Amino acid sequence: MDGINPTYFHVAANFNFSPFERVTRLVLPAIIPEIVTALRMTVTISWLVVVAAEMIAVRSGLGFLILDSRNALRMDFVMDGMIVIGLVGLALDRLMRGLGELEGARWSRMRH
Amino acid sequence: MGHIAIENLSKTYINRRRRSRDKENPLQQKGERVTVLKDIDLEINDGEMVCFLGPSGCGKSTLLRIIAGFEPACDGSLRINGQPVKGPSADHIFVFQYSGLFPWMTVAENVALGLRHLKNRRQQQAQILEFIDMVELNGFENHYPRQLSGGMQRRAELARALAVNPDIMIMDEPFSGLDFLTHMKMREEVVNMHAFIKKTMLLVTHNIDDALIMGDRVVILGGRPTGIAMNRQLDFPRPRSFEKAPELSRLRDDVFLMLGVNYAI
Ligand SMILES: Nc1ncnc2c1ncn2[C@@H]1O[C@H](COP(=O)(O)OP(=O)(O)OP(=O)(O)O)[C@@H](O)[C@H]1O
Ligand SMILES: [Mg+2]
Repeated sequence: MDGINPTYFHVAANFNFSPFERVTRLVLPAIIPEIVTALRMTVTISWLVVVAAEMIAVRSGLGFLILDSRNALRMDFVMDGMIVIGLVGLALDRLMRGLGELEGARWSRMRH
Repeated sequence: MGHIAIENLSKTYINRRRRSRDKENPLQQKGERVTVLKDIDLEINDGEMVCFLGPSGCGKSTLLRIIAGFEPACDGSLRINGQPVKGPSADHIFVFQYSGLFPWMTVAENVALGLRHLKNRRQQQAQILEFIDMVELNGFENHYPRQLSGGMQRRAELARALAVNPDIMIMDEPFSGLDFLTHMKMREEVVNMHAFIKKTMLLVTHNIDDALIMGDRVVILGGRPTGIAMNRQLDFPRPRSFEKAPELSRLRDDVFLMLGVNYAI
């Protein structure tokens, strides 16, 4: 909330915004770009952390599959696992980038 | 109706010092009081265009913010149409010194903010287009503010303010940062608009010529703490020019002198 330009709250008051409108038309749109940027940064990192955690901690999942296959000398499964991890990571990044291209998330960026 | 009566209005800010700046002097920690406006008396008639001049930091924006209801006065009374001002309202719309358009809304959506009471969508759309047309932004309804030039953004904000149909329009340096030609055109547009809608308009400017050409009245703020240094009706016919009205030209020299410039260049 602190990051929002106080002028916008003056405008909201000037145009008789209800508390509901103040949230839906001001606060939410104002913070969406930051949320999307934050998501983009964290989601891809989280994915890597998840895979790594699977290798160490649990007995299921892609990370575990790779480790288990390596131990069983099934290199084809290891490769499969790596490819799937890569693809999912790529897909997540695409998704996040797509989110960033939505008009609602773009307003704060410099004019092009 | 847009009648404004201001009596004995004063405004004091308390600038709080950061703690522990000087521990020996606890009085100082309470913060110093700065009286920005003192004993302002002003009456503005319905439909008047009043231009405010004054040196930077003298409290012009503060006075307008108080009239708009964004800030309370510390002392004195402020009445609009006989009613004390309690807070911001759609009856007195403020056009901001720096853009107040919502950057996440298109021009049309911004203008629609003033037309939310219209439940009939078709009628609402028609009115939105009408106001956008009035400021000559047709074709840009679906552009976002960042896709417009500075002058176009000002015009869009003007359209948004007009759409509310307020009794009073309050404009804080609406032309600052515009190039010379856009400035001149905007000035003309605002004058024409005022002649057309006949609303009370308060306008702060740093440009003496703007004030003398546009205003039905010019009010100069000055002194320390700030009071009203001049309050002068301008009964010159329009369109005005300094060449055609020697008296206006003399007044201009006086104003320059008052604001601390010895000769008008
Ligand atoms: N919120 C605040 N707290 C403390 N002091 C303030 C506050 N707002 C304004 N002031 C002081 O009040 C004085 C007048 O400010 P104001 O913005 O009204 O000036 P102005 O005449 O509009 O100047 P400019 O022409 O540069 O826009 C300034 O000296 C400023 O330091
Ligand atoms: Mg100002």
